[in-house]
Amino acid sequence: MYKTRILFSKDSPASFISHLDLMRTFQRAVIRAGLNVRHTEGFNPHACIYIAQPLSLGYKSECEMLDVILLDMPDYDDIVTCLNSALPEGLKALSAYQSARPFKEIAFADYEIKLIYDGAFDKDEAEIIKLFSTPPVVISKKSKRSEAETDITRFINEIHIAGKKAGADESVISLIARLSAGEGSLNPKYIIYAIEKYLPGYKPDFFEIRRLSVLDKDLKEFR
Amino acid sequence: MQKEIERILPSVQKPARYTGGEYNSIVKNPENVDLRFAFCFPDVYEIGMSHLGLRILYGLLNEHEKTWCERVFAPWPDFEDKLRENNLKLYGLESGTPLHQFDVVGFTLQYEMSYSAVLNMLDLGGITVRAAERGEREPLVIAGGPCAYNPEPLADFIDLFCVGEAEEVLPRLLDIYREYKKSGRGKRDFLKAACALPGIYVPSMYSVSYNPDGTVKEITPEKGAPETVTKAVIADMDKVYFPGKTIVPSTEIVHDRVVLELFRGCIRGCRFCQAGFAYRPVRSKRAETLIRQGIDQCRGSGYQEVSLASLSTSDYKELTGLTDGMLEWCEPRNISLNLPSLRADNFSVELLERVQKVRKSGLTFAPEAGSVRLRNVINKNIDEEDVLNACRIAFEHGWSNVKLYFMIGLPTETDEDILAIAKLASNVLRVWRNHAANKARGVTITVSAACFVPKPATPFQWVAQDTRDEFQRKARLLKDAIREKAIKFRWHDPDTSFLEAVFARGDRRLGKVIETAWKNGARLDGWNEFFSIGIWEKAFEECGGSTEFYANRTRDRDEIMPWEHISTGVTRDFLLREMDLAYKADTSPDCREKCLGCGASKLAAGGKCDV
Repeated sequence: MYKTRILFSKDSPASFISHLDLMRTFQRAVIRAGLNVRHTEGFNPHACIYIAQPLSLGYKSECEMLDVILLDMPDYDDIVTCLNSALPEGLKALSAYQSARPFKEIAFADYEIKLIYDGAFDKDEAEIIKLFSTPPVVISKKSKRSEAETDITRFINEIHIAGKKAGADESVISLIARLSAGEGSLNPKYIIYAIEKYLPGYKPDFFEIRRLSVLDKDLKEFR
Repeated sequence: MQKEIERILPSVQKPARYTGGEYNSIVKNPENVDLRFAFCFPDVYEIGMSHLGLRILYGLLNEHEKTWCERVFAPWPDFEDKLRENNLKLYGLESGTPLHQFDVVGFTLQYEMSYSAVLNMLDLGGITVRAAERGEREPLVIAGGPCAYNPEPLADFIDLFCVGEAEEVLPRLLDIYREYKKSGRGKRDFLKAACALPGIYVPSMYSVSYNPDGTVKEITPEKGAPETVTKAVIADMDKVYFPGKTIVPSTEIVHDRVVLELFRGCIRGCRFCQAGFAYRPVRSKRAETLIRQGIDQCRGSGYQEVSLASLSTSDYKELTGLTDGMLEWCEPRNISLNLPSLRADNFSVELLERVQKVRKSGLTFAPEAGSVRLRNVINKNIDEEDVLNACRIAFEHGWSNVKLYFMIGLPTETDEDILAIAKLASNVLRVWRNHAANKARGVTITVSAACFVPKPATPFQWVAQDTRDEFQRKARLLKDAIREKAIKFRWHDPDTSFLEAVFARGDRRLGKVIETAWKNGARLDGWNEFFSIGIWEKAFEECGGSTEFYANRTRDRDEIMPWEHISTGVTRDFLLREMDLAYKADTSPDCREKCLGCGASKLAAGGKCDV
């Protein structure tokens, strides 16, 4: 039994595969890839797949991880090649390795949040950063059990402007935010909600969210 | 994916239905193909992707290097609203190309309640709904599937129907289309050439006149069109195309598994069953072919479930060889095997254990009628003893969930026949009490009653359907007669069955009604949450048609049916003979026991059915 972690990216159109469907998709992909993986017991056995940190529907990611238990001695490079020929469009295995750290050690995640405006947009983006650096920023936040008015700045480790592209057809402001993940995590959509509430003039026509990396409590990249 | 579509998707339910990109879906370079085909399923993705015919034809058409076949499904209303709001067209999932830019748009007609969705998809795809008003540069719109055995209600909207099995004729049809496209000749010329192919029906080449009482007087073909269009059939089921690689949806669908088709046709001849007659002659695949195809598809898909499909699986001659062969491969790989639709009469312990080895799901039997007399009428030749015996075996082996399917409103049915359904269910419960392996687990017996819909190409095509009030009364009668808590009663609402009866045996004058209902908002009529009988009643009022004329009228033996010019190979004389036997509560033997000369053998290779 070889506990193996697979690092993968999730891009369009696979970004619209829900967490549950993603499990099913991988259960079948590992079989197509010819990997001999441990199955569940019972009348409907299926490959055991554990995916870290569910990603919201529509978000993209460069750093998704899943664990499987291989019954044969793994050749990690081979696993990546075989898996990539078995995955649907938008999912790509980046590496495979022996997994040591439990997913619960994930404490932060970096997100790229693109605010997209139809047409030209010339307001000062520094206002956005100012908003999040002056607590409190109170948003009604849903947790598993309840919904409560929450100051979200305590979930924001860091936020900055990564770029701005102003065009006549479309303007884009890119933010990079380091948000709490794991226990007490913050979904990056709350950043958008806060902008809509506090800076209505900055409400984007559309937004795109991409998870760039996940980190442990010491802000070291988690693998 | 188009940027506009990507913006809509986060705000709709289950967006994975609209993205394409699934494993094994086929993407070609548009520069390298000369024919773009849109395979349209007039229901949502989860239903359409569960359909084996779609998977077969999708693979088959894409085998041709120069043909690119894509898939299109009916959108859920939230997505439809967004498309319309943003002025976007319904598109092929593989390329995102709007429907109106395809060469050929082909619909599969699995049930009458999808007709409004056909019109809606055409409209959402930017295609003129009425065939006569459609421009020369708009796509050719074709349709096939079981409803094409009476295509008349859709005659106003479809350029051409493929009647019967499409695997051989469709590629030939597309080759002719290619030539016409290259030569720049018109659609009319193409249709004239196409109707020479087997099973191809061009409704605009036939004119229909009516008697004063509203029945069909005459169906007259234009010069060059065949007087009778006989369905196309595949001669050799072992040689016919079957996809090795099948699309694996990235979101859950209804039947998410490998499906193997054991045979086409049926030896039984249950008189209510359209498929049982329309899909004749019986032609089987050999077990070794099926095992090979099953293994191929499992390997190519990663599916861990295989299901065996046919009209009567236990009648498959090589069933033991097939299940042994499949299980030998499946079991070590954690793949389960399903045997649906077992008949109660040749149900055996052995067969049961075969399924049990991998999985123990609920068991379903379809006695269809409660009394022996009525089962004789419909020629469902199973005894109550067979059903009880099968249930006993199931209960002894630990099953605790049995479903019993019945129909109400069958010809000659009396209240005693209805009450016999309750009695049969009670008897099943008694068997459980006496034989259950594990009583502590309890038992659920579900009695499902559907409303009988007389279908074309069956011995009951002449009979009147019960009125909706009568269905209501009979259902209440049955409900009140079922007293045991362990027996659950479910029944199908009569409004839908009533409309099915209207359209199943309707004529081309109904086109107006379908169009009106669609304009008034009819969409996904197969879905309770969207179906509105009111919309349809209003459409009939506006168009001045009588629903009773189609559904509740006993037709004269000599009446010319709206589908008289479409032949399944089974003769009218045979159907009449069977109807007469039904009214005498006389049964007919199955095809294996004795050939009844239904006429279908003429379509079989060498004139012999493979019973």
